[in-house]
Amino acid sequence: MNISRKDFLKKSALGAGIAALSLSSAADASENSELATLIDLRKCIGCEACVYACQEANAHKYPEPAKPFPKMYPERVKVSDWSDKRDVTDRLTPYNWLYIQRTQVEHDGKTIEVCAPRRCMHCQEPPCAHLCPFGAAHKQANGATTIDPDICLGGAKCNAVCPWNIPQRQTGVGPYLDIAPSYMGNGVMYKCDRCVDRLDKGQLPACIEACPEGVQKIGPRDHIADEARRAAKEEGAYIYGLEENGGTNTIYVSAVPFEKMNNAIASGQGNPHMDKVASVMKKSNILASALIIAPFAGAAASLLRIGDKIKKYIGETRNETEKNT
Amino acid sequence: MKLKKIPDILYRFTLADFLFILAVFGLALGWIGHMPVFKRYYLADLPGMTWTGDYMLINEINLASASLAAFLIPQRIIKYYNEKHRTDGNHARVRLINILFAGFFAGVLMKIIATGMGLNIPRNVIFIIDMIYMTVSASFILGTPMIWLSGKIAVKVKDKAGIKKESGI
Ligand code: SF4
Ligand code: SF4
Ligand code: SF4
Repeated sequence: MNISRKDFLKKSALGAGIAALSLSSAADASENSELATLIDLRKCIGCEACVYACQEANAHKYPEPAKPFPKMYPERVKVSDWSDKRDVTDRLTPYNWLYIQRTQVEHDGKTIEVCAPRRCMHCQEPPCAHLCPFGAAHKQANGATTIDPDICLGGAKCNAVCPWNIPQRQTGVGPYLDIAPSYMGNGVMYKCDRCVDRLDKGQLPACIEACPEGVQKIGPRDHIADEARRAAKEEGAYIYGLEENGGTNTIYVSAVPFEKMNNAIASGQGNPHMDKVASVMKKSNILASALIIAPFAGAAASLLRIGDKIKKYIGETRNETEKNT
Repeated sequence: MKLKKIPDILYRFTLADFLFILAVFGLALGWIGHMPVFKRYYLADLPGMTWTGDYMLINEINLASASLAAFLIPQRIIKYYNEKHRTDGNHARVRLINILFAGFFAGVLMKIIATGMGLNIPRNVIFIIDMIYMTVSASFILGTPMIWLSGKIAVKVKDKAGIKKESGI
């Protein structure tokens, strides 16, 4: 299922267009680098060709829910049904994994309209994958995070822990229907999988391939990050996604500060913000490191205590022997 | 000097014992609280329990408890082999609880290594680990009170029958 960075580079050598990074630079990248995308908002005209390409390429993965939905208990559990609203393209839904977020921003005395293709950020430390109770959300070796519809029960924990609330639920599909549909689970969560099947075949993600303006690039993360930094340094561009949530594999470059964009966005479910995001997994990672050290420290402490007891015992025995002689 | 209202058993507990119990509770909460059904069935809505609805906090409590338990386990093992006061019946029950705990703790560690350390582990392996974690956690969390209760019942039955009292788990 996973395409390695090396395979990707080899295969994309045949089919890559302007969207892919130059292969010579990619070949220099370190072997361990994940793939990341660069989204240059200065080029996006908001034509939505990427949105429709995404829908067409991924239509076979969209949910086909069984209706009527099972009655849910307790009653406060609500169904999420987007199956009759498949044509919604102004937010993320289980049938729309990419949308164009349009904002008007005052910057340098001008009103600038910014069109931002929004989808999963493919975090380097994805809380959705780290905290999924069933291992349905999973980070691939190539840096993309995917959700397996055959495992996901639709509890929406991934949505709750995602700093951008990206995954969207569709009720009436998935394995929960075969377990206890009224009492546990509520469907399947859907989001951009960075065209995992297309990458496997050496093709570019559909949205990247379809864009007439070459807004997106995909390549080894260190190269993508270098390119974003270069744009910031030489062209005064602003960057988003490089440091957010400890680093993501979706890096935006813009002519206007993301803070201003974020203030202009009516963010909420399906409409992700552009705010600064501290690393969600940072504390957990520190605690996980503590877990590696803990048994050794515990064993050392126990051995020291045993050593003390032995010393005490030897001391007492010696005292007694001296007393007796 | 013993305070009157404090049960005898508490005097036998060391700080390490209390910390270990705290770690076990943290791990149990980590397992129950990591599933969305915990919120669905109002458990996180109980007065004073709203903080348990924070998935990140529950994950951090789980990791901290696992670290604390891992630190204390070597000392527990030594203590277990030093204790000679248990009667045969209770010893079997303690051993069973220890086995369940060992399985539970191994499940916790596998789960943390598989999903919490950013390793590239195949998804089907993670799925199997998740299922093991579910099974061993449920066995320990549900099994321990049952074994403990069976010990108490056994003591009562023997008391009634006039057989010498066991020390209780
Ligand atoms: S296809 Fe390209 S230019 Fe058109 S909306 Fe998508 S990213 Fe923007
Ligand atoms: S953006 Fe959200 S859904 Fe996407 S990988 Fe990060 S945490 Fe997961
Ligand atoms: S990478 Fe693929 S799945 Fe993700 S938004 Fe683009 S076309 Fe859609």
